[in-house]
Amino acid sequence: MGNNNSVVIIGAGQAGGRAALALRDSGFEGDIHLIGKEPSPPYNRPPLSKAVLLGKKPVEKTQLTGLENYQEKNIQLHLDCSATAVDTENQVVTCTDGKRFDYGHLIFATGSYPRELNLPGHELNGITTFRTDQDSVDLSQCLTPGSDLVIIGGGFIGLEIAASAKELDCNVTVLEAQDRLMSRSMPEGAAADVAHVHDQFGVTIMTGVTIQGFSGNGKVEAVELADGTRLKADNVVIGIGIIPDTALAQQSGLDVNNGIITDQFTKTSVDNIYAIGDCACTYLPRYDQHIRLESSQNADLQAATVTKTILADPQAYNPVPWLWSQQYNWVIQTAGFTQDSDQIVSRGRVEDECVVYFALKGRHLHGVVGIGKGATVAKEVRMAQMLIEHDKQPDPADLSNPDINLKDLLTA
Amino acid sequence: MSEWHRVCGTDEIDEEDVIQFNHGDKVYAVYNTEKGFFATDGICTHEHQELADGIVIGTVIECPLHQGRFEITDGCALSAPVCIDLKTYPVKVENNNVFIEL
Repeated sequence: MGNNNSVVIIGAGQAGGRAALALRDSGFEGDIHLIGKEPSPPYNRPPLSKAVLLGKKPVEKTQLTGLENYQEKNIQLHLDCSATAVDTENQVVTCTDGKRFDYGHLIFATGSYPRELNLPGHELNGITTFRTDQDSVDLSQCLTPGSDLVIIGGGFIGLEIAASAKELDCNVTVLEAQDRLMSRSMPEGAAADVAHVHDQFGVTIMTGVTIQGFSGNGKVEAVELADGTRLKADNVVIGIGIIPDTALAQQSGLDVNNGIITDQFTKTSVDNIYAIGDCACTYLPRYDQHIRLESSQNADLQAATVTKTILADPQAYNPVPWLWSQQYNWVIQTAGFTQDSDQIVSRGRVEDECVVYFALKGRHLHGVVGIGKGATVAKEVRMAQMLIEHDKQPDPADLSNPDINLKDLLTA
Repeated sequence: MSEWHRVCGTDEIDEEDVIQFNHGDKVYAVYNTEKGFFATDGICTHEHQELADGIVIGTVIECPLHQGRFEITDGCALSAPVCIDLKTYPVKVENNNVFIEL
């Protein structure tokens, strides 16, 4: 059997890194091995498409903590290293470089990788996905003023890059296959408001677009659309979603279905193995279903959950999902879910730089989206998140009335 | 040398709420909690964001940008993404006015 007093974490991203640090900070005294494919120690991804791309934040500043802190906390970091096999019977992990680690507890924090767009010409230089710190550094060097950037995918990552590139004086076009932006995460009105903001800043947004391929000689020169349109491009960023990295989990015999299946304590179908972060599809008691979340909040909170589980003080993971985005000097925040809702009501208007959409399912508040300049929407989104958390049934008329303080609805 | 500065009247901060106080070129956050009035630095230690736009839950201030949380009474950073504590400042109430010592 493996070393019972050892935790091995596969994946040194935000979730894996936080789990290692939290275990040590919570008094875990055994060995901690943190295995990461990338050369950098664990870092936060959110700033990569914003401050780092803009050159306002040095890329090293995205790291959760300095290398010396891992040493000080006696966390063994194995970077540039991939786990290749897990022997669940003998509780051993094998890595590419032949290293083997016995584990008492094994955490999968393998994250996700960007979906590729394998259309003709996709191998041309200047076409990239966007996921790692290196991706951000590389792209920032390409985004010279006056250059043409085409972004494929009108989701959060694409729109954040669009905003940053616009601030860098690039000519920016966003192509979206659906008939509107952010169809996965936002109601129609909110998506139209986000489009309005980008329009104000001079980004061209094209929806319902089918892409034929890419043309160029060694380096991309244009994106070719199915209707014959040819969009000049010096750089192309593909932002059409991420895929959970579950290959090793599957190979190791763990239950996988859109992510590694876990219970609310982050335990997988195999004893002493857990999964957290983007790669995990976790049971949320609140929704009575398994949900895979892709957010910073999820990485942080699941790192805390697995720590408690391993330290035999289990606390169910059951948050109302929340995430933020920053585009220009605008903040977008969402909590809960706005899909599958029965009614959408809003307060405020995007023209007044602060608008909030509430999604109701039956009589219950189910989700909220706030779009505003600065952090103006944060309070309302947070209050709405708490209304959802407490399963409140607010009157839609109160939600749409800006004179009603949402805090008062909490105690109502 | 530190001195006391008037921030506002006690009725100008709702209970379980926060206001911003600017002094010199610095920004402070002054809170009214169930445990009384408190003051901390006004900018989150994680990214540049004014905490007075955040919400107070009990004696915890939550940053509006990334929901990083601090204990108001001692400035302690409570949860990711914040890890650096907030500086706190002495506060007193006299004749229904709130004062901060800077």
